[in-house]
This record gives sequence, structure tokens and C-alpha cells, in this order.
Amino acid sequence: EADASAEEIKRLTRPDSEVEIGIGNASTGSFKFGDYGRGLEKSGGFLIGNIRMNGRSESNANYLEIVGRNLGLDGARDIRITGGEQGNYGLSIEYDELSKLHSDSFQTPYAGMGSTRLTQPAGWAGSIDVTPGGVINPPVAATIVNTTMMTRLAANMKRFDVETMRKGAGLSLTKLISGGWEVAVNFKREEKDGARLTGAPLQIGGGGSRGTLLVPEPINYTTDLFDALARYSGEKLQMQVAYHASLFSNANKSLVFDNLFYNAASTVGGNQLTGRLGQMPDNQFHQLKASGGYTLSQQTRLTGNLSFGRMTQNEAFLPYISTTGILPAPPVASLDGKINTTHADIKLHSKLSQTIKLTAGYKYDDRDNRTAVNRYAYDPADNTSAASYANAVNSQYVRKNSPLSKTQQVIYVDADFHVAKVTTLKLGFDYDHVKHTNEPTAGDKEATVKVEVKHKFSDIASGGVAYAYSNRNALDYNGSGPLNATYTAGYLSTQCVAPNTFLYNGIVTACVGVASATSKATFPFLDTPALRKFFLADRTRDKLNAFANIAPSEKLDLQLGASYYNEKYPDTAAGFGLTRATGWTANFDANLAATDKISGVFFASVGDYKTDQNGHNGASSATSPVITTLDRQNNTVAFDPLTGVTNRTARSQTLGLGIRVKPGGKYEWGGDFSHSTTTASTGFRDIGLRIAATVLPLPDELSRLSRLELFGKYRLKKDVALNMKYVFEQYRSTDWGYDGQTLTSSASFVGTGQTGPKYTVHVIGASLVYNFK
Amino acid sequence: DVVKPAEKTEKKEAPRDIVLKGDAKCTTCHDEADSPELLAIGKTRHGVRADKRGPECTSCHGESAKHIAYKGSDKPPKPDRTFGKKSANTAEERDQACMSCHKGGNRMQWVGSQHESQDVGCTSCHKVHTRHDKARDRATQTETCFSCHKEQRTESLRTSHHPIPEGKISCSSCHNPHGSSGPKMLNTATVNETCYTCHAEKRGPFLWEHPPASDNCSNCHTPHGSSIASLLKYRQPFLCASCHIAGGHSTTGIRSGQDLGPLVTPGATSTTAASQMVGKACTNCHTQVHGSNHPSGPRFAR
Repeated sequence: EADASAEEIKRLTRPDSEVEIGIGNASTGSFKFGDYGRGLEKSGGFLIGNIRMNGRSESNANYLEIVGRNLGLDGARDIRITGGEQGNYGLSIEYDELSKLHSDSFQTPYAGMGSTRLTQPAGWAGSIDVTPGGVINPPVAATIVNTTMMTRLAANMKRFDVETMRKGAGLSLTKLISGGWEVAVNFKREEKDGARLTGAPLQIGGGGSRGTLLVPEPINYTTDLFDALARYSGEKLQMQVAYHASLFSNANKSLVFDNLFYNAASTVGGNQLTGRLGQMPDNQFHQLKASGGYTLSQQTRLTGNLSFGRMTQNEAFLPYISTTGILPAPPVASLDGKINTTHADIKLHSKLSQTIKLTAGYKYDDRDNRTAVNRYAYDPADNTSAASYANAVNSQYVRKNSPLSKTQQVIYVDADFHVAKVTTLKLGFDYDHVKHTNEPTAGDKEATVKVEVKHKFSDIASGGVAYAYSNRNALDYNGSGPLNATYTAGYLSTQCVAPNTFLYNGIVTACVGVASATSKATFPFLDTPALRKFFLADRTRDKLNAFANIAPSEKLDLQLGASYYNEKYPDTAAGFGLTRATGWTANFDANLAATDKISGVFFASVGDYKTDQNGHNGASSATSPVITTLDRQNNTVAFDPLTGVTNRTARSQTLGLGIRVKPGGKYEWGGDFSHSTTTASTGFRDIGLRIAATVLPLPDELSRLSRLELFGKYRLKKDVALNMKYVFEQYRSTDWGYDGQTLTSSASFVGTGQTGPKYTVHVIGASLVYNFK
Repeated sequence: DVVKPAEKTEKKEAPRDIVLKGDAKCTTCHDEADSPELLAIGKTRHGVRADKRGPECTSCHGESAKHIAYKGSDKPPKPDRTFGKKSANTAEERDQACMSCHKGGNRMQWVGSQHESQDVGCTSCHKVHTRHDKARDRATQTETCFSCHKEQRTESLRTSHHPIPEGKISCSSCHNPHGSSGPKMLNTATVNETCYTCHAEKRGPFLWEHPPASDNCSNCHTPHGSSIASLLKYRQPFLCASCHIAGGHSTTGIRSGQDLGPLVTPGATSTTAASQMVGKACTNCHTQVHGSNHPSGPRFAR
């Protein structure tokens, strides 16, 4: 009996280990289903393998732990091994995989997908037919090739799985030092390989005539993360100093692709042309950080952080265009980009009395972009013709870069009042001051007031409501200012008509444009003056949250919650851009512990989100009566018939149900069901008369996910159990960006053959679990 | 010395500790028959007696003299500090049990933090008497966080999401629930710095910066889940058209079914779908929206 008792105590007090091995089967392959490391993108069998091992000495503090999950699934597996002497040192190594499955239905006619060189199929150029259907009629001079002329398109479409895999390996060391000090070093290398979809535009005619298609951009990233820190923890003082480095490198520097819109006779098609896309450049980030906290008294504590960082990037520039001999080299060989970051904050928290607590703080964030500014005479897309983009001094294709800097300061005060034993009142105030460079505003100021009341109505019921109001006021908004500054004065002077003038770098500059039927701008017209960018514009915001918790019995918990927000952009309402964003959600949760052996959970939530956006169809200026740039600037009578509001709505419903049954014998079982639906709609209102006939309804976008999971566990022996699992998952989606479109629906965009993902998958699994000490 | 048999029977063996140092005064009653789940403290790091920092029962629950001394047959007075649902202790009192040892490192800013000020205490999220604390396991952490953060739970079930439901990252991959000086309790001082931890390729500095991307990733993305690909807040081209409605083809600032062409939109007078609407819309060409380092990239198409 004593042995049995000792055994039982050991079972209850000593960490155990577990190994699970089994097999499973997925009925259908689907990238969407297998996304994000679920490892089940293909149909058929798979291995179930999990391990959780805890080794600990009974005589000392040495330990070894191994946790491995999804060991049989590519893109899902991870394993972590930790060991050391508790209270002295620790060592940890880990390995992790994460797959991201973008598309298994993507197609292009290119050969070489997955590499950095995409080539067109043999005989492609000779198969371009301006009047498809009979013999090949090659293009004549200045013809812009469109997708319907690509007679070999359908026959050459090839499927390519667009996916990436991240594989990360890490090593951590920690060491406790006497006197409350601890040091730690962490290193992690993550490699990301595969492909993502990117655009491959090319110049296919004069001006803005470009053709494009989506292509797989090969990914070969390596990111090294390194951290070293020392921390101290004393009775009153705690502090930490650290160094952090993040080093990113990309083995691929560019993606080169043949021109599928190649037309030997056109202006830009004199030679076989390739496009070249620059890939993400290598970059580094180094940061020194210090943080600390000091308990001034039993009631008062002071904490703060300070960090200095530097982001750098100096990848060699690619040439302006693939075709040599047209444009000179860029003014510098590489950017030598530098951004210094500084962060500082301090927070004081004090318990002023038994019923009042006060927290106040200040934060400072600075992004100081020290990157050099130069002028670049560029081409927006590859072409073979100097005539297309004569990058003279006055060209629109001479621009200078405009490094962005930003300084943000925040002060805040929060006060908690326990106005009664069962009632808490919170009041708060934030003041946020932002300054930035090369933006339409020099900065903004935002004040937020917050109030919250929580009340405990009884032992079984409590609730609360919180409200916050914010008002952001931007300094004078000059939408064209920073944009114009990137162009040359010579070019800008052509964008307004004489005898008007404009300021350029503080210098009065004369407009030289000649007024015409469509050009009567009084200042350089590059952007609609009334446009307000939502992240810079004036904004008011209301946020309301409410909750109630009710526990009618020991066994039942009910939670109700609701939230609402309303963002308005008052300046934008009279102009263009996002004018309003509003939404609400409501949720209900129930947790039931019916008996010691049966428990269940139910939740449901609904939500509705809306945005209004003012826009215009300025392109209609070509129709009669003519709309001039002057009309766009300030003639509402002429311009209003071209304007309107786009209204986007997203409605979501989510519910879930779960049950767990543990009768206490040899078996236990349970199940979860969840369902989530989101429907997004696009509507239009206040559409101007001149464009009303062409603004047609858009189909809704829908995504609907249903999942049922059932599982059971049967204990075959004291230390061996059988796990059974069944999963049903169904996903339906519609997306007007792909659904219903063909390879040639768009003249200038080669279709990809993709559709909104849909799948129905059944997964079964059986595994044995061995438990041991 | 030889102990006589009579003396042997009179000397009752002192209760022995089962798990923690000095736990005999508790486990005399709360033994494997009375409270087996309490003994699971032995499976945790708190239960490693060889680690001199390890706690005793009373380190967390207080000396509880009245509780220990009670001789009645009904329920004894509660220990000085309890952590259950019906604990009479304040959140601050309960937290003190943990913070007396765990006040350094990531918890330095706990006092006055968002959670602390809402009376969300350590044991609101953490389970101490168990080997598997759900809040400290990335595969199960959301069960803890979503019990309060319902909107994030809903969003995580949307078609575009971070691999949170799949258990590959967790809430604490980005947030520090113990308090932080960053916005929304982020692990770092800014939103972008947090995002760049995993998305370092988007950090730059780039020759041509896209202002909203450099300013704040959350200008365009929503982190917890979206019904739009790439965790976008609004769908393209509408997202882009909220800032770009003038110049070139973007003058068609009100995109509608007309732009999907006659195959999708009955009555459309256009003979072709607009390349700014189908596929990835604006990013069919302007693919480098996070910034371009191509000298010909001011329009983010290179």
C-alpha cells in the first residue's frame, strides 16, 4: 500500500513525458486548407508525430525538455530542446517551419517560373495576331499588343504553385549571475524560400500604355536576429540593457522577364525587350536599448525606456532600364540609406490613496532619415526607346527622392477612482503631437479623452461601459507641396498656364504652359487639391465599448459585449478621400460546466463595418463639355457631375460551439464547431450625372468557413492511449478580381486562371500516445 | 541508544514534505486524496526544490495561521491569499504573490499597465498548479487571450490572418501582456518595429519611400484578420484610391462593375476589364508598395 501511495504521489508530482505517433488522411488537397503550416495541402496520408519530454533530476535542478509538434507535416513542424540547471544556466535550441501557400491555381505562359529569369514560349512573338481567328496577321507600326492578340496564350499556360517556406533555427543561452543579475544571448536565423506573386509591368506603347501580368517572384531571404542582454532585478530597482541586431539579406537582386506584349513594329518594340524588377534590398538594423523600473515607495513606481537604433541599406542600384545605351547611370551607385531611430519614455504610477491611482507618462519617438537626396532620370517601365522618355531637364521623369522623417511625442494621464467598493471610474487624457517631413502636412495634434465605468451589481453580475473621443487636427494641408518638390521647376512650370506663377523652393516661378481646351491650371496640377490622405487628415473618432458578465450559477458564465466606433474626416468630407469609417460588433459567450465531467462553450459574434470614400472620374474630361484642370481645381459646378461616393460594407457573423466529456473512465471525447461568414459589398451614392450611367454595381465578395472537429481518447493501458480525430472543413469564397475573368478579359493584363478558393476536406487521424516518466 | 518499544509507538513521525519545502503543514490535509491537482506544482518549475529560489506554499498563499490552526469539522477560514474565482483578495494582493519574485525583465512595466489597471491579474491568465500553462504555450495561448478579446477572436477566423489559429505565432509574439511603452502593448516602441521583426525585407530604407508604409503598417493592414488578402483593411483599388485619385489612369477614381468588363458585369459598355480592378488590382503594376530601391521606381512599379 505504501508503494502504491508513493507511486501515486510520484505520478502527481513528477513531470511526465508523452510521445504520440499515428497516421492520418486528408480527402482533398487544397492550398487554402493547408495554408500556414497546417501541412495538409495535398490529399492522402500523413504522419502524426508529437513529442513532449520532460527530464528532471530528482537530486538536483538539472532538466531537459523536448517539445516537438507536427513532426510529420512539412511546413508545420517545430521542435524545441531546452536544458540546463534551473536557477543557474539554460540552453535552448529550436527549429521551426512555417509554410505560406498563396495559390495552387496560378498560371502564366512563362518558362522558368521559380527562377529569376522568366522567358516567353518559343515562337511567341511570331504568334502575335492583330486579328485572331485565321492566318497570323502580324502587327503593323505602333500597334499596341493586347492579350487577345496572344494566340498562343491558352496553349502555353502552365500551373505553378506559389508558396513560401520559412525555416528558422535558434539558439538561446541564459546565465544567472549572483547579485540579481542575469545575462542572455539569443540568435535566430530564418530562411524564407519559395515564391510570391508580383506584378511584371512593361511599356507597350507611348505614355501610360503598359501591359502587365502577375508572375512568381522567387524568394530567397535570410534574416539573422541577434540579441544580447543583461538584466538586474532587485527589490526596488529592475533594469535591463540590450543590444539587438536584425540583418536581412536577399540572394535574389532582380527578376527579369520577357515582354509578352512584344510587338516588333511598335514604337517601344524595336528590339526584343525584357523587364526588370528590383527585389527587396539587403538591409540592417542595430539597436541599443535600456529599460528600468524603480519602486520609489510602496505606492509609487517609476519606469522608463531608452533606445537608439539605426537602419541602413546600401544595395547596388540596378540600371534605370534593361536596354543599355539610352539612359546614363544613376547619380550614385547605391543609396547609402540611413535612418536613425530614437525612443524614450517615462511613466510614473502612484497610488495616491486607497481609492485613487494615477498613471502619467511621456513618450518620444523619432525617425530621422539621413538618406542623401539626389535627382534620378528614370523610366517608369522598361522600354527600348529613348524617344519614349526623353529625360531632359524638364521631363516629368526626373524626380528626386524625399526621405521621410517623423517625430512623435505623447503625454498621457490616467486616473482610477474606486468611487465605491463595487464601482470604479477611470478617466484618461492623451495628447499626441506628430511632426513629419515631406508630407502634405507638417504634422498634427491629437487629443483623446477617455472615461470608463465598471460596476459590480451583485455577486453574479457585473458590467461596464467605456467611451473615448479623439480629435486630430492637422496643420495646414498642402497636398501638392511635397509631391511637386520631387519634380524639377522646369517640369512644373509646364503644368500651369502663363501668366500664373508658383512657389518652388521659396522662389517665384513662372508658369509657361499654354492654355488649351483641357489645360487651364493656375498652379502645377499634379494632385487634386481637395484630396486628403486619411492618415494625415483631420479626424474625429468616437469609440464605445460595453460589457456585462453574468454568472447565474456556479456552473454557468455568460458574457455579453458590444463595441462601436465612428471615424469622421471633416476636411475630407468637403473634398476627396476617405470621409468616414464606422463599425460595430456584438458578441455573446456562454461557458457551461454542467458537471465535473461535462463542459461546453458557445460563442457568437456579429459585426458590421462601413467606409465612405469621395472620389471623382476626372478622366471624363475628354467628353463634352470639356473639364479643364482649372475646373478640377475650383469649379464645383463643372466638376461635381464627375464626383461620387463609394461605400464599402463588410458584415461578419461568427459562431462556435464546443463540448468536452470526461466521464472519468477509460475514455474522453469532445468536439468543436465554428462557422464564420464575411460578406463585403460595394455601393455608390451621390454619383454625378455625367458618370452615373457608367457606375455599375459590383458583385459581393464572400468568404464562408465552416469547421467541425471531433476527437476521442481511449486509454488502452495505464500509460497508452488511442487518439482518434475527425475534421470536416468547408470553405467557399467569391472574388470579383478573379472569378468570371478569363485570360484575355483585360486587354493589358494577362489573366492568371485563378478563382476564389473553395474546398471541402475531410481529415481523419488515429494515433497512439505513450505516457512515461 | 536503544529505544524501547513503548517509546517508539509514542513518537509519532513528523509529517514529511511532499513537493515543496515546508509543504507538510499543507499537504497533511491537502494530500493526494484531498487535492491531487494541487500536488501538480511538483511538475512545474516552482516545484524544483533544488532551485534555491523556489517557493513554499506560504510564499504565495501566506502564512494562513488561522486556516492551518482550524480544528473544526466544517470549512476552515480561507488561506491568507487565494487565487480562485471567488477570492476575497484584491487583484493587487494576488499579483503581489507573483511579483515578489517576477518583477524584472518583461514585467518591469506591469504596475500601471493596461491589464493591471483593469484588475486583470497574473492568475487571471496563468495557471500555476499545472505543468501546462496555456498562456505560456503559443499553440494554446489564444484560449486565454480570446476569453476577453472577442473581436480579435472573430478576426482571427477570417480568411486572411496571421498563423495564430494554426498555433505558429501567438498574441505575445507581438504584444507584451505585462505592460509596454509601445502602442497597444506591443513588444517594441512602434508598430513598424514590431512588424519588421518577421518582415525585415520591408524595412528599407528605400530610395523611394511610400509614405503610409513608412509611417505605420497599420495604415493599410489590420493585424488580427481580414476578409481581404494580405490583411488589408480595405480592398484594392479602393484602399489606394483613398489617397490617389488624380493623375494618369487613377483619374478613374470611382471604380465599379463597369471596370470588370462585360463578362462579369451585364450591361458594361467597356469591352475589356480594367487592369486596375482584376487580379491584384493596383499592385498588378505598382507592386513595390512598401518602397522601391530601383532608381526607376518612384511609381513603385519596379
